[in-house]
Amino acid sequence: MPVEDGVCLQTQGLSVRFGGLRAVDGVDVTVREGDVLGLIGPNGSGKTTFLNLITGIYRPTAGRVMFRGDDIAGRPPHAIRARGIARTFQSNRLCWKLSLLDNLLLGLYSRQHTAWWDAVLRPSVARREIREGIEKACSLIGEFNPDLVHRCYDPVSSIPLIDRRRVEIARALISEPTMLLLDEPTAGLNPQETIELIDDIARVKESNQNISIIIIEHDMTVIARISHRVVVLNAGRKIAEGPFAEIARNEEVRKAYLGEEM
Amino acid sequence: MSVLLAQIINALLLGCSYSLVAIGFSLFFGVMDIVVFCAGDVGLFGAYVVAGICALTGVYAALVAAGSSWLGVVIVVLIGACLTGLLMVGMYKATIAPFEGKNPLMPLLSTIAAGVALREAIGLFYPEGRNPQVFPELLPRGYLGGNPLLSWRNLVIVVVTLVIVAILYWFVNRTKLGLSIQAVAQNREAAIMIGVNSRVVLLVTFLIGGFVLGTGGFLLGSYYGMIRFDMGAMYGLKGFSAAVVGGLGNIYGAIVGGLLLGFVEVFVSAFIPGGTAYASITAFVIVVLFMLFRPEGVIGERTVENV
Amino acid sequence: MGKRSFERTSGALLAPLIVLALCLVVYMCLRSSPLVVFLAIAALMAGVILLEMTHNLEAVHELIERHGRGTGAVLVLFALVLPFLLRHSSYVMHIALIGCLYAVVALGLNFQIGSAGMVNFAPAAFMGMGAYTSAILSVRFHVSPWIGTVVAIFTAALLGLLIGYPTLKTRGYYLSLVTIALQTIFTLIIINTDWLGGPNGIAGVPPYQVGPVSFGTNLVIGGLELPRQTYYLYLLFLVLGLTAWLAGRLYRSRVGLAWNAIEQDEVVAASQGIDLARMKLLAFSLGAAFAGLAGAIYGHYVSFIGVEDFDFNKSLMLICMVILGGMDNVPGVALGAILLTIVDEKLRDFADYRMLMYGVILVCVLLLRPQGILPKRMRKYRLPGLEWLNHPIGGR
Repeated sequence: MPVEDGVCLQTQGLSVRFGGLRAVDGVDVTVREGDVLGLIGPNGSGKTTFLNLITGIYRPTAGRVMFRGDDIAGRPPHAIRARGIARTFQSNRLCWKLSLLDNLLLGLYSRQHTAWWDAVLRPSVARREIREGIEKACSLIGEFNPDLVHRCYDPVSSIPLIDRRRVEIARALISEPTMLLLDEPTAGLNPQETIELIDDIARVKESNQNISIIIIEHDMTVIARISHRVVVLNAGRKIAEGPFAEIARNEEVRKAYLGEEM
Repeated sequence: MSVLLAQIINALLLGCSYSLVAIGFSLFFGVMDIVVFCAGDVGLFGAYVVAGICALTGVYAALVAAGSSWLGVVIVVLIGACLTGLLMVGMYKATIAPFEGKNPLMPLLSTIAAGVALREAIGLFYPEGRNPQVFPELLPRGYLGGNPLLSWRNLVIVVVTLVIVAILYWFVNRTKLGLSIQAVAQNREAAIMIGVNSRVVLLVTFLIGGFVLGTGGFLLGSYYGMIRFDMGAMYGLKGFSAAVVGGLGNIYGAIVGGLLLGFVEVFVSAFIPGGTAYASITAFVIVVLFMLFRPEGVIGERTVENV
Repeated sequence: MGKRSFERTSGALLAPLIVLALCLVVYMCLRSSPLVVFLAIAALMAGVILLEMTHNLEAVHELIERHGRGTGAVLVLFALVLPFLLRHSSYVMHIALIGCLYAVVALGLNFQIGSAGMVNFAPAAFMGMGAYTSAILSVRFHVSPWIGTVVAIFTAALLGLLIGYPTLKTRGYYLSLVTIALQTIFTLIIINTDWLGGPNGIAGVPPYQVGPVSFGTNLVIGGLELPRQTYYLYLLFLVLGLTAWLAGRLYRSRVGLAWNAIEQDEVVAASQGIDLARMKLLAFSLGAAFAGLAGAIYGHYVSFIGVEDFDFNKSLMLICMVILGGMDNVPGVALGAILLTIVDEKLRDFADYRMLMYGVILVCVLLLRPQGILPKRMRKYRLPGLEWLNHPIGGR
């Protein structure tokens, strides 16, 4: 299939089945460079599964995932991160027993090069990499919340939820990804915190014009505010696509969200 | 042909005793998601209790003199199995319950250690414990209809196993307590919320499991005709392997696994030259292969990890 | 300003003193009766718990790290002097030797259990692989023990890959169980293969030789005759020092961080770009290499190896060393290994009751202090220019 210019990610007929369940069924999505794509749909419609397919956690049973011209479907997660797709998780998956700093440094792993023998044979190179990593981590998290810089060695389980969400986003951003996948970043936050976090995400987009973002959300104010386009999934299939205002008026989308406030 | 048949019967017998230990493992794993590594030694304890009653106390002799030797056997085995059940409950309280909710490595290690301690205690405190003991011949001699392949001993072993499995099936599926055990096994929080007393359920599970293990030990002793204090280690390892192969947590899987392993061992021993040495190795290699390629066992169901 | 330099000098004195005190505790344990050993270990635990309760344990760790040269010097001196102090008891020297050997193996095992969270029940098999490789090469093929030892490192690492590979597809429980099965298979294969010595083992394994000097002989320094273990003891101190240093470096590096991440959450680790298979196999093969090295040295020291030296019970003991010492804590693991070896040897006094007491002690330790002597620490980075990390404004 010919690759169009400016297309960052394109899924073609992407599908996965678990036993008899078609969790994602023939989904075609195109994300251009610099796009912010909102991904919405009722619970169980396959949004997170869709992200898992892109990031290599699940292997598709059919279809392709074209990232900058290469088919990355079925590649392992670490290879996909190395290529420049970073994500956050719906349940805010951090390494709870590690410090805040360590969690951020983990995000940099794919961009570092020292191997196990370097720790022994080239200690100065290894040390320099770590120092640069620490400085980058501190400056990045400081942009989100300056107080966190002083809590570098605190176990990440001890900081409040909104900061934990920020840490997860920072962990994804620290490797300077081409594409950022956010899975319900505002889940569990109160309205005030939601606004703060969306401000953070908007700021991230402003300072990284070329980064593409796919954001899954249930909170429509978030989607309305930052997404350029919206894709709606229901029962694993794409049922609508377009700017948010259009989607909000779409009859089928309303039916899928029966009872949901739009 | 009769050689083949004889070996099939041997395999069946060995498989039965493995199955009973495997059932123990599956019960405990099903209810608490832990592998109770001392199950083999606990089973052997049952065998030692039976042997001890017969050799050291006059109970069995008295029962035989009083009337039916059948009754004597049943009573002695029941005592052995019940005491084993109580031991298992004690083990649970000492080495498993304190680690609830913590790293599952802890109860694994503590049950291994408990197994070692139990083994050594038997060796130390049972008279002449370090030496192999002759196991009393409690099962009737002779053959059914004079057929050399159908010894009463073998028949009783198979029948007892079937009876235990049948009783377990009835208990787990038809009684309230049994269904509570299933509920706790599937989802403990939900079970508590619908009013199941999970503490009682756990205690009962370990009591029953211990009972089954004790019976298994008795059958093992009857099969080999002798017992040694350190047999429990290998017995437990094989029983556990059988449970994994069949599907950990599944009672029918335990039976399938036990029989499968029994067959592999006996057939490799009998029909491959120099095979006795490699019988155990083959069994363990099969277990490793299962754990790699089909960890849910023969009967189990695959679970998909949720992200 | 004055306060800082006072802190620095007092720290420079305090750190080596603490390490010296630990060395003395170990020395005392080596020479004393079982009761004294238990009391000493209890006192050590009490000390550590006291430090923990007053939130000073981390400070002590950092103090010792800051003054690495001083504490290192103390350890080196202690190592050099020890054979002189023990020269009248070759049995006690033997205990010290075996303790160092197991410390090396435990440090390797720590990569798997402590750092990466993969509970491997086959470390004794790795040790055995090294021992048998070197023994067979030197006994049957008359290869120099030194070369045999080097080859042993590689064959053990290979076995590490072999046993590590199945664990890639298994997690948690199943991983442990696979390694139990593999350890058992290893033992069974050796028992049943006569070429490998079978149940009788391999005898006549030659000692190391440097030029005309054989390690099997006594050493005479300054008119004092030191027992034949001295050569091995010095060799082992060197090996232990190197392996501990390597382990420490790995812990501080991005490899150590990756292992910790794998332990916490594999999916997250993979999503950060960590190649799970590669890192797990690295933990296994490096750990196995350590064990193989120790195993080879063991063979050349005791000159007779049998399958009981490398069976499931030994693996169990090694796991206990890592847990007792403190998972993912290099000094903890080394200390735990040495102390547990001493305890194990002292328990021989109880002859028949030894294994029983061992089992009971293990259950008690798991119940009372599962985090070990020196618990897992938060990873800290000590780099020039980043001291502010350790002294956060308004922090503790």
